[in-house]
Amino acid sequence: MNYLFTFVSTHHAMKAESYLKKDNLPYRLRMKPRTVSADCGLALDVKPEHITRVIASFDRRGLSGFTVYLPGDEPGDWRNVPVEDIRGSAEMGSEGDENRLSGP
Amino acid sequence: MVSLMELYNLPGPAIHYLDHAATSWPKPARVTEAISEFLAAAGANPGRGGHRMSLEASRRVLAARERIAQRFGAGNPDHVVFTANATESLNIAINGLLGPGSHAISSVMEHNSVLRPLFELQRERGVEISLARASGAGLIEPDEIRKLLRPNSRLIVITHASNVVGTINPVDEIAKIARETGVPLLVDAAQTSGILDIDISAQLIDLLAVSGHKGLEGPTGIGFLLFRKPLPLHPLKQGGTGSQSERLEQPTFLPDLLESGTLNTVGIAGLMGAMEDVTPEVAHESWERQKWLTELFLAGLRSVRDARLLGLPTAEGRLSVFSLDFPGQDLARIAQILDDEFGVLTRVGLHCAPLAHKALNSFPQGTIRISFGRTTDEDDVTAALDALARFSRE
Repeated sequence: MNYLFTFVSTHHAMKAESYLKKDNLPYRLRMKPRTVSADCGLALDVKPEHITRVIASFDRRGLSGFTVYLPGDEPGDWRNVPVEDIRGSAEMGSEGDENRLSGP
Repeated sequence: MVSLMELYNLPGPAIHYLDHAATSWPKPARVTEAISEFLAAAGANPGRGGHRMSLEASRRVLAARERIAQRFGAGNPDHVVFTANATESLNIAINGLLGPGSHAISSVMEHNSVLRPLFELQRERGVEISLARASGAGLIEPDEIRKLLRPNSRLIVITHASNVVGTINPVDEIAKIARETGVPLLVDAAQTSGILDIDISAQLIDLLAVSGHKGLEGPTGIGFLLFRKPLPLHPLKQGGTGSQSERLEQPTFLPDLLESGTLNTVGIAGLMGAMEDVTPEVAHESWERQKWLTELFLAGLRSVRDARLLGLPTAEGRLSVFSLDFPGQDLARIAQILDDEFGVLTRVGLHCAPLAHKALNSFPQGTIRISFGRTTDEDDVTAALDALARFSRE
């Protein structure tokens, strides 16, 4: 079962794609399934054998602002996969948090 | 020198375009090529769909952010916010940072794109404003900024170089004051971007407002605001961003926070075309040549007896932007004759900087502004000097 990445914005999805291209990691950029909530309209499809390297690629550049899913029990369902579970005990990158702003 | 006759089969003298401070001309050939190529190959809406053309447009927008971030020392492409022009960039920063009870420091040398938003905020939100004085040459001394600091100061906004007299301000020293006091520094780089080297990380410039169509030689209608680090800033406008569409609140992350509505992708494509042609190396060569042309022009101007040059008298510390007065003469008439009879294209008036003219004793009549660019040559300078000499009285 392939992993599905969603992103807070198209900008973040494009950055993710550029990192995977640079690292020569296979992926498929696709439209986000309707049943996955929120975020922008794009998703990245990643095969299980590449998932740890994909996360490492994002971590190395400090990319955050993404969520990872696997197919759920019912057709069309998706369940959130904590990134920590994939990367072990490593912490999330901080870039997205740095860019999260609030107005006066 | 370009002949209008050759370009458009129009009557009139060969033209000497000396209004680069308003917009550069002619644009590099790559600008029109890049625009045409973008519209043909990727003319869809970036960030608004998952189809291949939208994705291609999105990729190009990211590549543009990366190129700009690298050129100006912004550490992260997220920190490049596309706008319509430097004016919009300045409005976003000024309106976004200054709330009721806050204090802003600026200078009398600013363009109305800084002064008008500031004075609007003074009227509407009770924002306090202090304007630094300028020297006789239009220079802002860092100590003048330091003297104006208050506990509630929330922004220092200074032009990198005057659009009236071309005097370059010591932004590095002003940045140190901003750093020491924790007050964000916004630099208006409308006149300097693409001409002088700017690295916002090395120079500690918190926010940089940039025009894409002047020194960077892109098309009109595209500019950007750069962040050294994200700042808590209220967006000037809200709307569709293609992200978090289920929410009724604006996204809180850059660049989406400040980029509502479809981006000017055509302008971005044209700007990238310009930046491909006018690399930093090309810009350096151009700047060296402009300094030499400045010396040539200033030397020749000393023989134009009735012309009064405002600002710095030598090529040091200035851009190739010159303001001239012919005391007692109608400057608009002179500018009209320069155009009609000599093909010398200049700009006359206040150049949207009324307080600068008050400081330089040229209000309300303004000045004739002559400004060089990358394509200006010795022939243009000679033609301008010959034409100006006609207005010295015997």
